[in-house]
Amino acid sequence: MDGSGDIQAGQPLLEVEAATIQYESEAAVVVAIHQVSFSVRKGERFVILGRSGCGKSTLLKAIGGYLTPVEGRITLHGKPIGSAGPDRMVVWQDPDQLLPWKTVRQNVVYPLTLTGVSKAEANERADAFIAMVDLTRAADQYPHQLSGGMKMRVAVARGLAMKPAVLLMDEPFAALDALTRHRMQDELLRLQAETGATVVFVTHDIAEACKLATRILVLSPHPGQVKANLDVGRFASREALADAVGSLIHDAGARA
Amino acid sequence: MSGPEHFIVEKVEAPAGARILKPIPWWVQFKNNGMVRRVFVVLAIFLVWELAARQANSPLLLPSVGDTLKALVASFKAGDMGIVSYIGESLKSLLAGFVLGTIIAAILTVFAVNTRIGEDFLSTVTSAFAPLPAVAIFPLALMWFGISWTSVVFITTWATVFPVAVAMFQGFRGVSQTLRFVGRNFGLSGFRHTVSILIPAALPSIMTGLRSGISNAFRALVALEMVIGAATGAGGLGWFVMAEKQNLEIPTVFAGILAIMAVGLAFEGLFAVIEQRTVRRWGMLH
Repeated sequence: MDGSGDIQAGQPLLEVEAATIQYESEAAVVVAIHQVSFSVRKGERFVILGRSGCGKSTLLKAIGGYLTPVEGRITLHGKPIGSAGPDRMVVWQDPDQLLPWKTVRQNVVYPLTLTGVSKAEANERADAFIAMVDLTRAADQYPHQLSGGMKMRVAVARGLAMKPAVLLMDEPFAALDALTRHRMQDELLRLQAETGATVVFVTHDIAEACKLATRILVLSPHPGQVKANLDVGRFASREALADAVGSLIHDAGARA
Repeated sequence: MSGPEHFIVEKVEAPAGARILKPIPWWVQFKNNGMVRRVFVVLAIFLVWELAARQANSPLLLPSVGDTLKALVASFKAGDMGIVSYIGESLKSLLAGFVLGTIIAAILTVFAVNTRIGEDFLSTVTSAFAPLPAVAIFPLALMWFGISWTSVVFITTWATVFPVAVAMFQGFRGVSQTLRFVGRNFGLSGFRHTVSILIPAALPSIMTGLRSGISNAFRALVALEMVIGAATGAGGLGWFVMAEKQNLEIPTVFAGILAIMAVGLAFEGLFAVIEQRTVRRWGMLH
């Protein structure tokens, strides 16, 4: 069923099995995600799509290891995920996710050295990924000297340079202006093709989902549940996909 | 003037290769330099002082600028008996209290950040002691430690702890969840997370706290030295001023006050330089 067909075909990389996630507000315990299951294969661009309040970011945080499901399990390479770690690098929505006291290059090098990569190799790899996001000229600048889009590109470079099992992206382009957002989407497609990275991408933007995804998981809100799990390859055209996703989202909203 | 108006941005160097429309004349640059303007203010104050002194014509009440500066230079040259040794004594008391106070503040902050009761303790204690000048607990120090250097260090420590602890705590509190998550994403936790992520991220507040801690401690110290300087054996600048007053060496009294101001300003300057090279350079403080 999956076209990529390498050794791990049929063997999912990341599996979420009947995960239920609750959070505590001041007055009540609320179910954010209810019995959600899906699996992500190597090299996929897996988009989790839903309206605000459907728990999609919560789900991503659980995969990242920042939250623990009350039921169900999440496995990576068949093993339960531990707490947050560099095998699941995250690109957050907040543009201020770079360490302000480090230059662009240091921001990419630092996490590499923490995982035991030698200084020389870390520098080399950082420069390669900074070049890949077209920021070589800004490598010695501090984050506050960069635009929002540039900061996002550094965050993507930092994530990819770590060669994580899966790159998690939490509405990374939502804070950017429309032009920059479209450029970043194109750039992400190019980077993903070049690196073959597995990406789990959360968004509320149907067009963005249709443009980026190889697979779309549509969540319905209150509590977040799987509405549909679509293989993008089965749709004849982008328009057909967008129509189908649009009506699913509309449906999910109306029922809530 | 015709043509488009230009706008002024603060402290931006012309990027290499930028087309320069016109250079800014040197006297305008001079006028726009804050340091230059401040030197002018100081000179103006000295001028008013000098005129007032000549008008009053009473060296015992208001010595002239010239006499004061002469007394200052003479005292600097006087070696062991002079002002330099008193400055040294003040700095010793100040730094001892400041370092000790900062360590205690750090410990309090660790408790406040990690436990709810620690937070309650810190916020209650700081709001209770905030209106109390540090010298006000001097009678207690006197009872517990007598007239001794220990009492002096106790007061400067006390004066340091609360401003530093409050600022540190607020600094840690203010670190964004995103940066905390980023640190955990790198696999950092516990002590390494604190040192590598939280402390640098909280540095702007920490610097502000250290700055107000040392100036608070210095103010308390000078006041205290005026009361017990000689008796503790740790004379210090406060005592220097009081002693010279008793000797009716009034120009030297004024010189001593100038020296107290200079020491305070020197610390301000030191912190300004550190901030310029760290948090301002990183765009964490504007």
